Amino acid sequence: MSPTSHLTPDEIVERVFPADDRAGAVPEHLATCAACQGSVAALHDAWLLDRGAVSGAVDDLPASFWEAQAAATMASVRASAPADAPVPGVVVFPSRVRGILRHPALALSSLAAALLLVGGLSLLRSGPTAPPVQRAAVTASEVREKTPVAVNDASDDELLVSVDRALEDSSLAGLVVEEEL
Amino acid sequence: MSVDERAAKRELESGILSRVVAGDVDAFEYFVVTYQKRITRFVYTLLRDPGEADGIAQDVFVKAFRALPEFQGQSAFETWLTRIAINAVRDHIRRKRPVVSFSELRAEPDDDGPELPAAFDPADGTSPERDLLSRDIRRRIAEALVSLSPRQRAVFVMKHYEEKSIAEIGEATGLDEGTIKSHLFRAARKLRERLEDLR
Repeated sequence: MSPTSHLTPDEIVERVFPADDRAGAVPEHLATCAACQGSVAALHDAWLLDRGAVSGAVDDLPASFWEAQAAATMASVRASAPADAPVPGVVVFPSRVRGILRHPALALSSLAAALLLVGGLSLLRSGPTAPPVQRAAVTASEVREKTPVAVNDASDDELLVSVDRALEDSSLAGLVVEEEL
Repeated sequence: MSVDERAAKRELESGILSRVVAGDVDAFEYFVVTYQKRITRFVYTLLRDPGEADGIAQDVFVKAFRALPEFQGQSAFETWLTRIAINAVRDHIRRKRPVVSFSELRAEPDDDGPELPAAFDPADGTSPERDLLSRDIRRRIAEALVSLSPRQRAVFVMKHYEEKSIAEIGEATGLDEGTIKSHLFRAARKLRERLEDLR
């Protein structure tokens, strides 16, 4: 650019919007040309106008706007917080208890089903249709009575006594019933 | 803000962040209240739509909250938040692009953008002709800005509207100095195209 030629549009834009942190040196022509100074000033003014407009439009918003925005934002933040996030000062239930608290209907129906099953099994055990338990609960003394003396050695006797004890255990008896069922 | 003040603020925010990460969700309100104006202004400068700026600013905080476990604290929280805002605006522009074309925006000759508070009007007190010229150029600057790619737009706004240094822009965008200058140069060229008849 010769000192006498006017600034190009690129140069005018570069004066106002430099691509670097520091604006370049002022062209010699600009220092003396009122027309070019006017062009640069017009763009600069317009930029300030635009910058002031956007900044002012936001800064002039009333406090109620910011309060509402903060409240809405925090509501979304709370909603997006993980459900099992620990909250200071709050006792956290173990996961099993939390499951019951979250789905009480499901927990209660599971409990009812379990009670029904236990009740049903008890009825089967105690009612007339429980011969498997009776049949299984053959005592060692009965075995001894029905077994010839020659075969009734000590080891067999111990084995039968232990089986007898085991069958007296109700839980194992229940297992027998279940297997029969 | 002095270096000491900046360090004190960073320490304060680090403590609050620890509380939020530990489960104190309400402590996050500090960041919302502290940065909501700055983020809303930034988004508004990029999009020029008050409604969108409000909604996206809220989204930025929610995204930041969700991503808090990933925040390493290597940059200031505000810088990290700005990066989230840039990404949110970019995503918004990409989603919106097929719906609203730039030609539609240009079809409104009376659209001078948001109302300008008197205190910010540099044309105040000058001749009506100059006022008119200023407003016309301003409209074209706003149009040129909207026509930029999201990244160019973000870099341009940070440099010329928020007066950030190249280094600060680099920190917020993750771009190197050369790329930032290239974006600024291209943005200025687009601006010049719209201001061809300026002289």
